[in-house]
Amino acid sequence: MNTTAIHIKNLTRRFGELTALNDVSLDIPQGEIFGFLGSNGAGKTTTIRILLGLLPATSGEIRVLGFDPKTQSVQIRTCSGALLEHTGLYERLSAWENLDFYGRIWHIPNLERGKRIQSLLESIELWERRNEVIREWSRGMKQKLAMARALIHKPELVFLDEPSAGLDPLAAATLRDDLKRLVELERVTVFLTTHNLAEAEKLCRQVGVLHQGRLLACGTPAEISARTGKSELEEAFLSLVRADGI
Amino acid sequence: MLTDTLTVFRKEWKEMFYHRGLRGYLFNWIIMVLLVGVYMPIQVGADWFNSPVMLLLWSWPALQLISGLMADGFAGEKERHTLETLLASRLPDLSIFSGKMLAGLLYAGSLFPASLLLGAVTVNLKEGISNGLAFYNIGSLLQILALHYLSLILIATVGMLVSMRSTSVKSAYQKIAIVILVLVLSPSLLMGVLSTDLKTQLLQFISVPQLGVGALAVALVMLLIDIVLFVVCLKGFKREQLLTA
Repeated sequence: MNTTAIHIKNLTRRFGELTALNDVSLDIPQGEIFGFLGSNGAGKTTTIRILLGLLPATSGEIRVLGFDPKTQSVQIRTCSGALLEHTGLYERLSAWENLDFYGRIWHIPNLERGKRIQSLLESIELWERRNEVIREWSRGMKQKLAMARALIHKPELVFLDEPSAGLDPLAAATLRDDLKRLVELERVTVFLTTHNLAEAEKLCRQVGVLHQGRLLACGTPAEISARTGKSELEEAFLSLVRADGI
Repeated sequence: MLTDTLTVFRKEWKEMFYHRGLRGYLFNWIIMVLLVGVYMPIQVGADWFNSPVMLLLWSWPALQLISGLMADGFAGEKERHTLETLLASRLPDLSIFSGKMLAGLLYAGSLFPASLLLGAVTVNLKEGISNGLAFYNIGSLLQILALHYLSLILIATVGMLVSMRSTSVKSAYQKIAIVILVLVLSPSLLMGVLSTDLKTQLLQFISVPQLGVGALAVALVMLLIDIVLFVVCLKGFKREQLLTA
C-alpha cells in the first residue's frame, strides 16, 4: 500500500490583498510523478516554497513525508531535493565543484560522494566536462546538472519547478527520460510543476490543474480529460480554465 | 554545525578566487598591503612604532575590503539566482551565515597583520638597524589587533545585515560604504568642530606610545556591539524575507 508523500488540506496563502493559493487540497502517494499544471502566476512556485518550508502557509494543514513544514522544515529539506525556478548552480564553479558542494551539504562521505558524482555525471553524459566552469554551458546542460544536484543525496522527494522550461525538444525529451529512469530506479516521489501539458501527459501519473490559486481538478490525465469530455489534457486544461474565467 | 559552516566557507572561498581570478584577489591584497606596509611607514619613519592610534586608523583598507565581500554575501546570491536553492537545502541558518562571514573575515583579516609586519621591516630598512631592530610594543600590538578585528567583525555583521535586506550587491555596497565613510570621516569632522585645547589634547592622545585603559573599555563596548549585531543578524535570517525582499 502506498503511503502519502504529500498531504495538503485547505491550503491558503495570502500576500496582503492577493490570495496566491485558495483552499487547495490534494494527496500525493509515494513513488509517483505528480504534475502541477497552471499558467504563469497560478501559484505553482508558491506551493513548492510552502511545501519546502521556505514560506509559511496562511492557513491549512500540510504534511510532507509526515513532517509539518511550519515546524519541521529542516527534516523536509533533509529528505528532499529541489530544482527550482532557476538552476541554482554556481556559475563560477565547475560541474564537479557544484555537485561536490551539495554532496557535502548532505554529508555524503568523501569516497561515496566521489563515486556518486561520477555516476550522476556519466548518466547525464557530462563526465568529460566535469572540470569546466559552467558559466559558458548551454541551458540544457545546466538544467541536467541541476537535476543531478537535486538527486545527489538520493532524496525521497524531489521538487521540480518547470524543469524543461527553455529547453529544446531534444533536451526536454532527454530530461524526461532521465527523470523517468531515476524515479523507477530509486522510487523517488516527484512533485513537478509545468505549463507544458504534453510533457505532463507523458510523464505524470496524476496531475492537478491550478488556476489563479484554485485547484480546479486533480486526477490522472485520462480522468481529467474524461471529466471535461476532451481527448487531450491540453484541451481539458483550457476547458477548465475558461470555465473558471480567465 | 562546524562541518556545515566549513562547507559554506569552502564554497565561498572558491567563488571569491574564481570570480576575479586568483591574480585579481592577490593583486588587490598586495596593493593594500604595500600601501599600509610600505608607503605609510616610509612617510612616518621611526614614529611608525610609537603611535598605536595612528596604526589603528590605517587599518581601514581591510574594513573597506570586507564591506565589499559582505555586500555580495546574500545580495550576490540573489542576483545570481542561487539563494533559493541554497535555502532549500538542509543547511542550518547559522552555518550559512557563519560560513560566509568566516570566508570574508579570513581574507580581509589577513591584510592588517601582513601590513604591520611589512611595515616593521620597511621602517627598519629605512632607519637602519645599527641600534638594533625596532618593533612594536607587544602590548600595544595585541590591543591594536584586538580592536582591529572587533571593528572588522562590526563591519562584517553590518554588511551581512544590509546584504540580507538588499536586492542587489550595488545597493548593499552603497549602504555599507556610507557606514564606513561616517566611521572614517568622523574623526576629521570632529577635529573641525573642536576647540584648540581639545584638539591639542586629542593629538596628544593620538600620539601616545601605548593604548591605556580607554582601549580596553572601547574593546569591551565593541565586543558587546558585535555580539548584539550577530544575534540581530541571526534573528533577522528568515528564509521568507530573504526570498521575498
